[in-house]
Amino acid sequence: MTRQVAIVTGGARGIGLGVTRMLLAKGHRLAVWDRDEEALSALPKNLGFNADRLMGQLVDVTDKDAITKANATIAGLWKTPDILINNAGITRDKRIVNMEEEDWDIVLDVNLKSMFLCCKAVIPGMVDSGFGRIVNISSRAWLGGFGQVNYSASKGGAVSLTRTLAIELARKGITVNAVAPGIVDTPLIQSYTAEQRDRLEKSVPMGRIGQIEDIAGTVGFLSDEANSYVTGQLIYVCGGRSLSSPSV
Amino acid sequence: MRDVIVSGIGMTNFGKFLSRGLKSLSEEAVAAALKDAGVTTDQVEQVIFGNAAAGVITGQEMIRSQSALRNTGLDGTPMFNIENACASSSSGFHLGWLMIASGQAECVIVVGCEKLTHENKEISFGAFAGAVDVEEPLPKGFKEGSGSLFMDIYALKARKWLEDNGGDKEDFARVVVKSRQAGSLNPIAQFRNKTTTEEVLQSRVISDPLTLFMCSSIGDGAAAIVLTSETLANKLATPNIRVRASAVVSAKTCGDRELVAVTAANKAYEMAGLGPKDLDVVELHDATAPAELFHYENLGLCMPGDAVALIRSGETAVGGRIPVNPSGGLMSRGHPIGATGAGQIIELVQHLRGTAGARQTEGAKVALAENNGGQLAGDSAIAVVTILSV
Repeated sequence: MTRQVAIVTGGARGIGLGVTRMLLAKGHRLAVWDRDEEALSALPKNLGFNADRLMGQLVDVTDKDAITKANATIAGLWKTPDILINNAGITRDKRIVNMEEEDWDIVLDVNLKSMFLCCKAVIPGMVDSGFGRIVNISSRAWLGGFGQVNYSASKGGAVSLTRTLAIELARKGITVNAVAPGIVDTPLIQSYTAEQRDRLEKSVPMGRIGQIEDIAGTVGFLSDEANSYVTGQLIYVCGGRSLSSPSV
Repeated sequence: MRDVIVSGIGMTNFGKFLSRGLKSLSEEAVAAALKDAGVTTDQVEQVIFGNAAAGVITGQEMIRSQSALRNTGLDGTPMFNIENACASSSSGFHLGWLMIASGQAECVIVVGCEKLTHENKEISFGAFAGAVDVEEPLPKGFKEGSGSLFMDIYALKARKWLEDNGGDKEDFARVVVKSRQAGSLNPIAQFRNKTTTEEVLQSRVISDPLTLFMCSSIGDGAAAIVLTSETLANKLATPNIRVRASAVVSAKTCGDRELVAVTAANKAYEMAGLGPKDLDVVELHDATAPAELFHYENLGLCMPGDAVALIRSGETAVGGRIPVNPSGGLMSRGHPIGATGAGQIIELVQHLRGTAGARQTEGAKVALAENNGGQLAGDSAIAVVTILSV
């Protein structure tokens, strides 16, 4: 069959870049939506040989018009997208006494409203073709995290959105699932001191910090054509950290 | 030589799709044709890709099929890029037919794909400047009207034809009315609104006597055909539509000669052992309205001088004695040049299968397609005539 077309939001850095790399390696065509122009322009260098199946698009995922336009470009040059990975996300961690309304709004907009807008843009094409895979990146933090009422709420919202959308699309050949990463070895964690890192590792039952490839692997499974009977599910990828109360 | 069967057909809508590229168009047509035939990409042994203008429009001067089809699952299969102007995909069809007829292949896909729209219309029209011998002075007639090279050439021929044959501009308008009527029945056609002779004659003059409605338009689209040997075809679900003849003729540039369309038609009739009277339905190259009338005579659908009488009789309309361009033809179905030849054949296959819907020619058993390309030495540079039968 014609090779699939995927969108990864926030796909130019961090976990998103890992997902981009994984989907390209599977032979898919990738549109990366990111608002970081520099990271987008570095993609070809980062991805080497596979980068010629890649379209970097400067998209703010809270901007409905930009999403509509980018989606139409993909459909025109390739085909309507088959896979959507809603990965874009930010944090603005503060205790509630210090958290401003703006902190709440921007985190909810980027992390949750973006999922609604991107899903709304791609679902009609998926319904027409009778096939679709949507994977939403939630977080273990939806269970609760100190200083993260905005972030936790947005990631909890992602879980509810996933479950509801899965019901609505169940008869259309479209699956919708979510992944909840725990502590992942991203630039933020890499900036920690050895002592801080050590403490984090001890909080994980498996005793190590997760790698980007760990997350990408699960996203790869959920977005695969062969995964046709799993929908509305949340899979924790956190080394077992969701199983016990964290010590930090 | 073995019999060759058309086992699968698939095409996009024809129209102006500024945002779509060669990949998007050809992927849709290829997927549809493979699905229709019930064959997988693994079974396809050769790929022939007809396209005329990608070099000008998108800059894809080379490796057009390898690029356009890279994500279809056909990558890794031998691919050939055929450029024969507006006759590119019918020429590709001819080569696919040869491959299977000669016993060298069991399954070949022929793709015609064209992307003509461009944000800058001059680039779209400029593509046609390459469909003449660029080392020779421009053909007589150019710049007498619109500046659109081919419409000026057709206008000159039309003026001469009116002088020689009688008839008047209204007869050209009648061809358009018939074309739009057919287009209104074809869901993939670029122009699907009916029109009247008055409206045609009152539309903008492009190059006298041609008005806007009498000219085919810029358009995009793709069409794909799966050709198989009879052995393979018998294992597939689609009915066997046979290729009875395929004749490609290039223009002679001096000495005794007849029009390439005439030579190609006669060769095809001889090859098929059939004649014009055996035809049930025809698709021909109505790049302009007068061209349809010229081809009535070139193909022997009527005696020389009788084309005016034939269009006036209504016998070439959908439901008539010998429907011509029931798809709407180049003028209404559309003319994405490299896809046109394959598009004509696909229309005919639908009639022979009995699946042409409101355009169906009842009981159609034999069908002919005539496709032209380029301009050389006062004639089309290429003519391709294909005859199909149940």
